Amino acid sequence: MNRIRLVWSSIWHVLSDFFVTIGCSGNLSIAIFAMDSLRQLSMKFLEREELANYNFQNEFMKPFVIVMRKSSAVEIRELIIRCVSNGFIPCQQCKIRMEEHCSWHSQQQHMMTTKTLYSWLLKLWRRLFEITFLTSLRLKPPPLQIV
Amino acid sequence: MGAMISRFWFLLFPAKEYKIVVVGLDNAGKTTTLYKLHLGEVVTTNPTVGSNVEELVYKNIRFEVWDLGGQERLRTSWATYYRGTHAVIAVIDSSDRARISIIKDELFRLLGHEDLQHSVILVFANKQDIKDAMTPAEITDALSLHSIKDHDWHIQACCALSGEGLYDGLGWIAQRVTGKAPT
Repeated sequence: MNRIRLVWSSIWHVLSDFFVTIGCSGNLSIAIFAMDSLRQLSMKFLEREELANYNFQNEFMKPFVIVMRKSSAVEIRELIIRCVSNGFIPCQQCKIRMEEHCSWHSQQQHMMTTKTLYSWLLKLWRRLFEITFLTSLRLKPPPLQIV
Repeated sequence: MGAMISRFWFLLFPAKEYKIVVVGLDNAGKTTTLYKLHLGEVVTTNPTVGSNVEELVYKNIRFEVWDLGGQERLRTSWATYYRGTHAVIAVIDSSDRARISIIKDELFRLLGHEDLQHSVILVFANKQDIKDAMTPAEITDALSLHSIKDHDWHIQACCALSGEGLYDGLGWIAQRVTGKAPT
């Protein structure tokens, strides 16, 4: 976990393709297991301040969006929604780090951290809206045809 | 230099790694237990969807602990996490008398799984700080633990919020899994 973000970007590029492939697998248990592992990996990366400050949120969460589009299993899409809404907000480690900031750093730095957190949450909610929007599109019943 | 010697030591005598799955009904305190052991502090938790994985090192033994979501709809996917498991921790809400029979059904269902035939079972009687909580003896009777013949089992009173009893239970697991050859 000590690698710089440039290295992690390359690694994640390979890993995300792998997770998308497994996430769309026909075997439901394997797909559920894959999405669960993906969620935990994403959480681990978002805990790193260096990675969370850049555009890596989009990179980390892109596999969720792709699987949401491609997967035909309702259970997988439901699991993704619940992972995103439950697993990411609030991030437990971020809370702890916030407390550390309050204790040890100046008010200026605390404000900076708050601003960073706000920006991070804004991007996260935008991505969350995209996922929810896709869901509503997919699940809407087809319009009635008048014969 | 000290770091180099330490790395060399671990290279020569690698710490064995064992897999533990933590199961139980929703709101039993599984995630709180996991992070109390991992971080040493109480974290704010949400209902677990899927699982949480953390690594603990205790007495030079490395434990890979999987905390599974306990809601009813999530219990069907527990079986996918059983492969290679050395120990099962069942966390029970000691104040939840109404659902003790559900816990018993789930416990005996998982004991029948083929991947867990060589696992040891530790029951955490959690939330012992609550008034009117069941004692470990009452829980032993309610769960019919004495009828378990194929697995080593142990019940440990604990309170995940204060950490009381958690390392006693982990010590029992460490003793049992190292005492026999891993599968």
